[in-house]
Parts: sequence; structure tokens; C-alpha cells
Amino acid sequence: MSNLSRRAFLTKTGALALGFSFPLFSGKTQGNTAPLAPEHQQDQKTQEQLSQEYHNAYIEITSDNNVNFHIPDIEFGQGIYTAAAMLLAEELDVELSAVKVEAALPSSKYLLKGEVTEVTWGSGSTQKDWLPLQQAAATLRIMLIEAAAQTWKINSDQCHVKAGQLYGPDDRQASYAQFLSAAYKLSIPTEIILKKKENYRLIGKSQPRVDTPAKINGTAVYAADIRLTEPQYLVMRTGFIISCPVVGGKIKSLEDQKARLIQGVVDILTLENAVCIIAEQFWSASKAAKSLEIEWDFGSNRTVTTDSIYKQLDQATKKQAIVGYSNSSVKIETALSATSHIYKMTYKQPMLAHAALEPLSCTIAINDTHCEIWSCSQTPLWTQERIAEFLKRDKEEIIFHNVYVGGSLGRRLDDGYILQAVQFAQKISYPLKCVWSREEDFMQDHVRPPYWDQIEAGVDAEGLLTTIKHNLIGPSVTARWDKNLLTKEGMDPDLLLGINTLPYQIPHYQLNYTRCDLDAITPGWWQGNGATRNIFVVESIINKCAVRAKKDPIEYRKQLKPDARAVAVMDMVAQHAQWDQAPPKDVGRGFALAHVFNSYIAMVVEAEVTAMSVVRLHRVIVAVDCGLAVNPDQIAAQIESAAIIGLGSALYNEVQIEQGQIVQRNFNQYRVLHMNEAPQIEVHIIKSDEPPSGVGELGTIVAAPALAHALGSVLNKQLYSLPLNKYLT
Amino acid sequence: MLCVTILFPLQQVWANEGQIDPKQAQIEKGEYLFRASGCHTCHTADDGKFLAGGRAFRVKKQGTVYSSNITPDKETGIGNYTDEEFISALQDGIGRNGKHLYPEMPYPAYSLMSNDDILAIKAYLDQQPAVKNKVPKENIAFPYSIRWAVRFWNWKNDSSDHFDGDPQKSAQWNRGKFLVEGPGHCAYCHSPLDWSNGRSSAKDYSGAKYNGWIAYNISSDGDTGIGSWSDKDLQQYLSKGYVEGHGAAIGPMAEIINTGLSHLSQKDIRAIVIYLRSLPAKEKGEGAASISPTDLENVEPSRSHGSHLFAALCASCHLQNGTGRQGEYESLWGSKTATLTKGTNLIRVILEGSELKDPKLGTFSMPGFKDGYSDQDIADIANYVIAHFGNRNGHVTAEQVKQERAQLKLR
Repeated sequence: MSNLSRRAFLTKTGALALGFSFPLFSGKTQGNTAPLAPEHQQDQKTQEQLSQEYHNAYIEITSDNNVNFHIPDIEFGQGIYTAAAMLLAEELDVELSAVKVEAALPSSKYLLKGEVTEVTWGSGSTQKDWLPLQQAAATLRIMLIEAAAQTWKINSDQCHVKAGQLYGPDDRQASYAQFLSAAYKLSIPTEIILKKKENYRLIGKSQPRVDTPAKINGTAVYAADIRLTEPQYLVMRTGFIISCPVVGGKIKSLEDQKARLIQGVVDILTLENAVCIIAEQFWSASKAAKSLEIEWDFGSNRTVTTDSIYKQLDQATKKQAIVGYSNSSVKIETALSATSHIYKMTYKQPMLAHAALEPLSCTIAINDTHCEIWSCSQTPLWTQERIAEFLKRDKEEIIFHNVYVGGSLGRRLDDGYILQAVQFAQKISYPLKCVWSREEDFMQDHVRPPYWDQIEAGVDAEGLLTTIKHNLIGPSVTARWDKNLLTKEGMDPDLLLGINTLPYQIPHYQLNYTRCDLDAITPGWWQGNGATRNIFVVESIINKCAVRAKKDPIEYRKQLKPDARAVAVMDMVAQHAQWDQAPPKDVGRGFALAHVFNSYIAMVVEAEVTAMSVVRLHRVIVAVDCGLAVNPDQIAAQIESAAIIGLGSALYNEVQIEQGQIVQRNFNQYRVLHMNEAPQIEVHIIKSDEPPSGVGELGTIVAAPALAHALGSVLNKQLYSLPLNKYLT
Repeated sequence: MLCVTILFPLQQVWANEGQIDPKQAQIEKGEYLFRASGCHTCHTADDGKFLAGGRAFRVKKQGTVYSSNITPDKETGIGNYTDEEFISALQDGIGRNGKHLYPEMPYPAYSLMSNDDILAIKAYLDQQPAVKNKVPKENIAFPYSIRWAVRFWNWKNDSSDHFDGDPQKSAQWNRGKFLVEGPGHCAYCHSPLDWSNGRSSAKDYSGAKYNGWIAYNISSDGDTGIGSWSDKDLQQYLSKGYVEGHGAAIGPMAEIINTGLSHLSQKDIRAIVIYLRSLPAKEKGEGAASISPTDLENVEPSRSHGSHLFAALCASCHLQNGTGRQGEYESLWGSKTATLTKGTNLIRVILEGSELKDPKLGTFSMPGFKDGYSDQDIADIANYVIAHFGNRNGHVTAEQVKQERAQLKLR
């Protein structure tokens, strides 16, 4: 059993809803909304109240026998709406097509034990939803069976369910909807038995995505699609936002007379560091934006360049470090001195942009009673709190609608843009849709910060890796996000991701961290978080040591005593990549392995460098162990797309700064892998009965080290820094 | 000397003199001549304020000069110029301090304008916002840095006559000649330099390299010049910057069209066409290759790296057959830029992009790809474009792209 408490409710529309709360109901009124009432108090409430209160309950069965599923996880393409709906449909025993998935409003009711806030990130949604969601659905199913048994005056074990229908003896059959009232009167069962795996109809069998039809026929709603045409809203306007391109800069002067004369322009608002041109529609605002004359005071970061940032990192290498991680009681210097040979190298990883396909957008309608917002935040409860604090309103008055998102890669873990929109919207009376052009999105991006990793890797007489001293230099994203998440010594736990779960036995591993804050950039989370950086370093070290020891990289890893699941993915990928046969002439082959988000992934990349120094990606073979594969097709799709992002980024991407400003402002400057450059990708999934584990970011995490290894083998050198195209000229 | 009647579109306006403030009329006339003279293009830097100067001009083997600030700012601009001083600068190339201007300033051409014309331009400039902007000092190598060399240049090249019309030719031709040789100073880019860096003695319009770009042969030669263009095509190209079958103007020509030619009357554009047509044919350089879109569609697909990049980056707007997805301004087929084997302008436009401004439809822009793509990538795209649209072997190398890239950084 999970630590959820459950409540059943019958709403105005006659739907039976199952809500969750954790911690247990306190009975006190919070804000101006009604408390989560215990069942015996419910009858005293009006149906109106109940409807309002629980329209957002987790699962509802409606009177027409459909299922409404209010999901707190955000869908930005990763497929969680489908995977979660499958878990629900499996245990409730309804058709997947009968489940209508809708974004839930942020609510602490959905928090599971140990969760600080609602957050969709870290390849975590399926792992998190796995048991609670099945248990919730099973609870409803058991109550419906019990209700039918009582109505039909039979034992509940004489009833069974199938596809939203209840069946009893003598060909008795009725839909779930017919027992909603009866089920509502029952107490909630305490013992929930989940289905046996061999009885699964949906889980483990590829299902089409539930969001595909709406995304194909255009009815799926993204933030930029919001049109507030309902009579309760005033006429909505569109705001085009221009912010100071340098972090910490401000507006010095603004000449907006010409812009105000442009037809359709309604208003021009300013904050300390940003302007919002509001017009009847986007194009007028965009046109007016071009005729604005803004003089910026760029502030102290105005002279910063990529080189000056890298120099800051160089200088920080001399500063005092803290020990962030150690797996051994032996002093690392002692351990190193006992090795036969020490390899010293520095890995350098650049700043990266999120470059999500959908630029930022946010619609806000503020009135006396509510502040309603349509956008995306991966941490919606925090966003709600921040907005409430800014507007000096109760949290419950902030209604935050999370809509579909066209990619995030971590961009929407930062809600600064939503707060910026709120600051503009609270100055006016009409609803405002704020739009950031792609150039603004790039320019204001919270980039993945640059990192230097200084390595001393000690090997024994056989060339086998025994000791790693890892000095990590760079900013801390966690510190900017929430300082309370740092350890008391000041270590950022994200920077250990992937290292503290290495699948090998490396007897002495110590990571020292020197924090180097960079004022000119806003550091942000990027696909794969700390693991993307760490796995590039660790896997590159291992590949280098294997080369120096003249050993096959997979055989070499097996000598590092990997655990059984790691061996299984290595064997599987080796088999499908025909690892025992030499690759075609001129084609380099690279390997990388990771154990992160409780999953294992092994990747082989085959790439060629042509005579004209052009990289051709031939083939990518992946073996993944992510526990029980809930929706195998979607797992393959996630790994394919994450690998494309990881390969393109490793090959081409580096955000540069000139005069304190991000240079790359669109895809002509920030190269992504095009369809005709993409390799053939095979994804092989290990059969497993372990609980599902993370998938979304795995493909990106191993892409850079595997590609660096492949290109290094054709170029006949070790590649230590990204992007790799620097080695090609 | 015959005084040719100069036809302005404002003529009708002047007819109603009773309602028109003569000062206002002078400013409007000044703006028109300012447009025709292309002042904006040289005197506004890439990210600079309007007319505040600072645009760099690299002069072969000599160094770099910067355009001056021509806003009415008293300290750094022309705010303190008297009428006489302004006329002297535009007609004689002598600046306020008595120094000779560098020949990058086409004052020998401007000297074809009358004093009234020049003062009209001044009246317009005086209305513009004053911007304090001190432009960098020129960086010119010996011996060109010595001002007497400039004086010598003047002596050799500058005839300093006012416009001298040809009574045998039509008024339209004469108007065209005035615009082309005078304010338009087309020869300054489109004619080769002679040994003393002067252009006026070598007005053959057979094309030249200027500030890194090739200004094409615009003589009436049928193969290498504009002889095969129809009047209609030429007229559209000059007033809009693009025409199907000849492609779009890019780089400095696009700027001339955006800030100058697109503001001229159709009558004046026709006059320019009539005069250009009468220029003697000079067969020089390579002509454009013109392969029809229908044929381009049926080309066997190439499997080169350049063709893959073209498909991924370029074809979404230009289309594989080069007709342009949304309009003629995206068309490539038949253009010199897409088909000349050296690819000079092609490399530059791929690196830095280009912009055409249509007063009604807004800005058509092509982004530059310099930050996202390597020298080899850009060379491969260029060679594919030349091969595909020109059925010729492109001669672009990564080294050439590298040099062009270095030139961009100097700006």
C-alpha cells in the first residue's frame, strides 16, 4: 500500500471521483476553499460546492461511463499522458480509448510521500506514478464490484469486470456508471490487490499515444493557441516581449512614439529590464517592436565574452574545493600513489541552449477574484506560490493551467518568464497573451552552464582503472533554484548524478567540487541534468583507459566488475551491433554505458569522418533496461529523440557570449541534427519485471561519450571537449 | 551647356505652390535626392543609429576608412556646416577643416547635382535627429594616408563639372543618365577601379569587387551583363530588389534598394533602365546560367553533403527548383549569385544573410548561417547550389569561406 489517503466523492454531474490527499486530512480550512471533508460531513455541502471542489479530483467515472483522468504530470512530448492512462485503464479495467486525459490544476493533494512539490522532470513520471496510480484505479474497481454485488445481492467474487462493464451470474451485465451512487456509499477498501503481470492487457504492449489524434487534427492546445473568447473575459491582447539581452542590465531610455502610432498597438509597458508591446494581434506588436528605440544600461556584464567565462573557470581551478563524493576511506592521494600509472586530463563542456521547438508563451487573465494563467511550468505549485506572493493574493486565487508543450529539455523548470508576464499583466485590466520570439527565447535562455572536469585516473599494472580523482569546476544550478537542496557543506547533489550510481567497482573515487558562479549567465537545468555532464567524463575516462590498455572497451568494462543488469545491456547491445566483427572501413565505433534514473543504457555509435571532415552518423544501437517496459514503442521513441538531441548537441552546440549577450538566437546559428543527417537507430529493450524506471533522458546522457569515442577512434586521438566539431577542421 | 529639365514626382506638388510651404517642398525634394544618392547605405553602420556613420570600407592594399556622421550633431556630425561648406564637401570633396575626403565618398558623381539639389539634401539632413557618435579614425597605409595623394587623385579623376546633358537624346535618357552617373553613382561599385583608385575615368560598368562583394556587370552585354533582361524585369528588380529568373538583390545592393531605389518613382526607374540599356556592351566575367524550374525539378537527386545541407537548411524557403515557396523574393534560378562558379557573393550571403524591405509587405529576410556551420559545410552548400542551379562546377573552397569569415569579423 502506498501512503495515500483516498476519498470518494459524487459530484454534481453524477461522476464518481476519487481524490487523493497526503498528508492525511487536517480538517482545517485553508484559504477560502472548502476543506477536504471527511465523508460524513459531505452531505451537508451543496452539490455546487462539491462540484467546484472536486472537479479536479484525480480520477472520475462519469455518468456516461467515461473516465476523466486529471494528471499532474506535464506532457511535453515524452508520452506520459499515454503511459499513465495505460496504468489507470489496466487496473480500472476500461478501454484505453475510454480514458480522457486532462492536465490537473496544481494541487498539493497530488503530492506523494517524500515529494516536496509537484515536478515533472528527471525522467521520473512513470516511476513515480507506477504504484499510486494503479492502486487508485484498483480501488475504484473494487468499490464498483462491491457496489454491483450489493445491488445484485450476490457475493463480490461472483462479479467480474471487463472493459468498463460489470458481469454477474445469469448473464447479468451493467456499465460502471450504473453503480456510481451505490459505490459512493461504500467505505474505501483498505486492502488493494493489484493485477498479476501475466494478466496485463495493456502494460508492456505498445499502445498508440492518447494525444496523437488531437495533435494531428489541431485541437491540442498549446500556450500560444489560447484564445479567451468566453463572455467573462475582456478582449484579449497580445504582448511581444523584449528583455535586456545582458543579465543584470536595465532600460536606460525608451523612445516609443513611432511604435505607438502603428495600427493595432494598444499599450507599451515597461519593467526595469523589459518592454512589452501590446497590440490587437501578434504581427502589429512584432512590427511595433522593430520601431522601438531602446537604450540599455547593460551593467557590469556588458564586456563578458565566452573566453572571459572560460578564463573564470580556469582561475577557479586554483580555488579551494569541497569533497562532494567519496566511496573510499583511503585518502585519494594515497590511493593514486599506489597505482601503476596516472592519466591526467581535463574535460571541457560548453554552455548549451534548450532550443525547444516551441518558443515561450503565456496567457494571463487577472480579475478581482482570480488570476488565471495558461502556460507551462514543470513546478506548477511553486509557480503558483510565487505568483501569489508577487500579487499578494491567496494561492488558491491563482489558477494555473498547464497546457501541452512543444519540448522543454529543462527550459520550463524555470518559471521566470511566467512571472515576467504576470508583472506586465497586473498593470492592465484585459487578458494578455505574452509571446517571446524564438530570438528572445534563445537570448533569455537559462543555459546549461559550462564545466571543466580535471581528472587524475590511476590504473593498476594491468591497466585497469582503480582510482579517480575528479575535480569539478563550474556553477551550481541547484543553488540558484533552491539553496535548501544543497548539502550543508555546499555540495550540489545534481552534480553527482550518475557518479554516485556507477555500475562498476572503481575502488577509489573522489569528486571535489569548486563552485564557480558566473554572473553573466543564468544557469539552468538541461536534458539529463548532472548525469549528461558526468557520464561524458566517466565513460570517456574508461574508453581512454581501455585504449591505453589495448583492451576492447566492453571487455574492459566487464573487468571493472559491473553489476548483472549492466552486463546484460552490454551483452545485448554487443550482439545487435555485431560488436565481435570489425566495423566497416573508415567507420569509427564508440561505446558508452550509464546507470541513472534507476535504469541502465548501453549505446554503440557508428560514425565516419569523410575526407572533407564531415561527420556522417551511420548507426546507433541501444540496449536499455528500464524495468518493466510500460509502453515499449514510446520508450524506443524517447530514446531515439533523446539520442538525436545528444548527438547533435555533442557534435555542434556551444552557446557563445559576446558583449555579455548570447550570440545564438535561432536555428541558423544553433545547429540541430536534421532528418537527413540522423543515423539509423535501433532500440532493444531488456525484458524485466522490476518496477519501471526512468527513460526520457537516457539517450542524451550516453550520446556524447559514445560519439566522442567513435570519432576519436577514426581521428586516432582522444577527444576531451565538446562540441566535437572543433576537432574536425 | 544645356540645362536638362529634371522631373521630380514632386513637380505636381510644386504646381500647387499656393498651399505648399517652400521649406517643406525643399525638404521633400532633399529626401528624394537623399534616397537616390544612397547616403543611408554608407552612412549608417550595421547596428548603428540612422546616418550616424561608422561603417567600415576596406580599400584594397590601403586600409580601412569609416563613413562619417552626417546627422546634425554639432560636435560629431555636420551640425556646424554652412551651406557653402556642405556644397564644397559634396561637389569638391573638401571637408569643413579643409581636408580632402577619401574617394570612397563619391563626390565627383554628386557634383553633377546643382547647388539647389545639394542644399535640398542638407535641408532634409538638418531635420534628422542629431546623434552624437564619433566614428573611428581611418586606418590607411602609407602612402595613401598622405592627403596630398588624395589631392593628386582629385587632379587626375575629378572633372567637377555639373551635369551635362545630351540634346540628341530623350529627356528620359538624360534623366536616367543624371540619376545613374550623378546621385546614384552606380559606377562606384559596378565599374572596375583604375590604378589610382578612381572610377570616373573607367565607367564601363563591367562589374567589380567592392567591399568584399561582387557588383555585377551591368553593361548591356547579352551574356555577361543585363542585355538579356527584359525592361519589365529590370524595372521590377531595381524597384523591388527581386524578379523571378534573376533572383534577388543581396548585400549592399539590397541595402541600396531598401533605403534608396525602392523609394524612387516608377518614371525615374524607367529612366534609369533606358540609360543603362544604352551603355556599351562589355563582355566581362561570367554570365548567369539559367536552367528552368521545370528542368531543375527533374534533376537526379545528388547525394553530396552539400545537397543534404541544402535540403535541410535552404530548400524549405527556396525550394529544390529555386522558385521560392512564398514568393519571387526567394527565387534562386537564373541568378548570378547562385550560378557563378567562384561563388563570392553566394558565400557571403550564406554566411551573413540578407534583407529586402517591401514598403507594403514588410521585411523578407534570409538568416546567416555563419555561427552554426563550418567553412566546409558552407563551401559544400555553395558548390551544390552552383552545380544544381548552374550545371557548373563550383570552385568554392573551405579556405575561401574562412577568408570571407575573417573579413566579416573585421567589420
